[in-house]
Amino acid sequence: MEKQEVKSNMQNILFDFIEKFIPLTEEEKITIESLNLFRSVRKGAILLRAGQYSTESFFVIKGCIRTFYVVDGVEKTTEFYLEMEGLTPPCVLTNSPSELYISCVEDSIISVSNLGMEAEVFQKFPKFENLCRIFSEQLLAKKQQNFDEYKTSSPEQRYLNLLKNRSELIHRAPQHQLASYLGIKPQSLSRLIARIVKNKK
Amino acid sequence: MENEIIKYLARYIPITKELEEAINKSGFIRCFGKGTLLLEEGKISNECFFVIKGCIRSYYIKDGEEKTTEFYTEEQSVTPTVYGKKIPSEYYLECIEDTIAGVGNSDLEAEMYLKFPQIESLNRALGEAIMAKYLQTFAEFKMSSPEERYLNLLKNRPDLIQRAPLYQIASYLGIKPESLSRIRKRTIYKHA
Repeated sequence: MEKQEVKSNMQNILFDFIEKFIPLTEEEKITIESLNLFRSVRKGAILLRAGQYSTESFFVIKGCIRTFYVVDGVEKTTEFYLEMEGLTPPCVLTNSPSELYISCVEDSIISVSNLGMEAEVFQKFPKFENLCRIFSEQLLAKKQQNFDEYKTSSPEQRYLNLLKNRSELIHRAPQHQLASYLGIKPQSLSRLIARIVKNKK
Repeated sequence: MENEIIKYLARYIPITKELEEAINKSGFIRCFGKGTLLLEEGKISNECFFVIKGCIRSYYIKDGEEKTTEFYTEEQSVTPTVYGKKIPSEYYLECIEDTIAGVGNSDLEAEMYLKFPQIESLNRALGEAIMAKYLQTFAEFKMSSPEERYLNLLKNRPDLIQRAPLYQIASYLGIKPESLSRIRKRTIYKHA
């Protein structure tokens, strides 16, 4: 595909997503296009490092990114973001060095925005602020539900929940990343999977 | 008590006379006795809360056992995950102390946003800040051992240890009550 064509494809995916919440006028679409949001990133690319300051938010159009911490030299994956999911790293809002890393689990196309763009768009089109409020409330509810589910489940239940709710992750992310995402040691996750497979037979 | 809300808002946005009057008139501040259930499993949720004084906890009942997932204290807001949706709640909200709270609903929200757009901006910004804190708390929880979680609690929210019963704190930390007692004994010796 031509580069231009890819870009307009991405543009349409983003518009379709936004239009699930609010309708967009031509003028608004042109403004969003002019922001030049899209970036193609390779598998393994690091989007944010611990210790860095940042003003950027990420939204996945295609692919998968993850957040991880490095604790005593070991990577601990805390979250995966797939298509139509995104995050503003906490350091952007606290204006302090990041504690976490963000990297690409697959070749990905992501939309990258910053606080300056946000302010500009909110000023031009106040309805985007309304959209962002609704969007952030929904995200928060979802996050809260995930956290509650995590807290109230055993490691085995967490794995079963993952199979039920985000089963594609199992094929898209390496097992050691999935293990720390589920708060389980890699060896325990292997045992757990073996047990579940055996019980199914 | 309306003053408490206005003081809080004034940290973020200018308070006009009209806004102050609207808040005073809205009558959205209410008092709840200890033990009051603000939401129950299976019920629809039309209300969100802002704790002015007191403590609200959320808990699930799984296999007949209470699992506490969160404590909300002064200046924290509680928006049930099914707030404003027509889906039954999976969990309970209970006041574990006599509590004074601002109580919002969709109509009040819509009315305030229409009259005072700056409230909507503020809510967007606060929502993002809460989200950022949530991500951090969740990551910390995932990466910590039970003992570390307890020590983090002592560091970040020491008042909770005095305010909530230990069995609730145990499940909040994802630990069995017996294990929490052991951890407490061990850490007292270590730090004595």
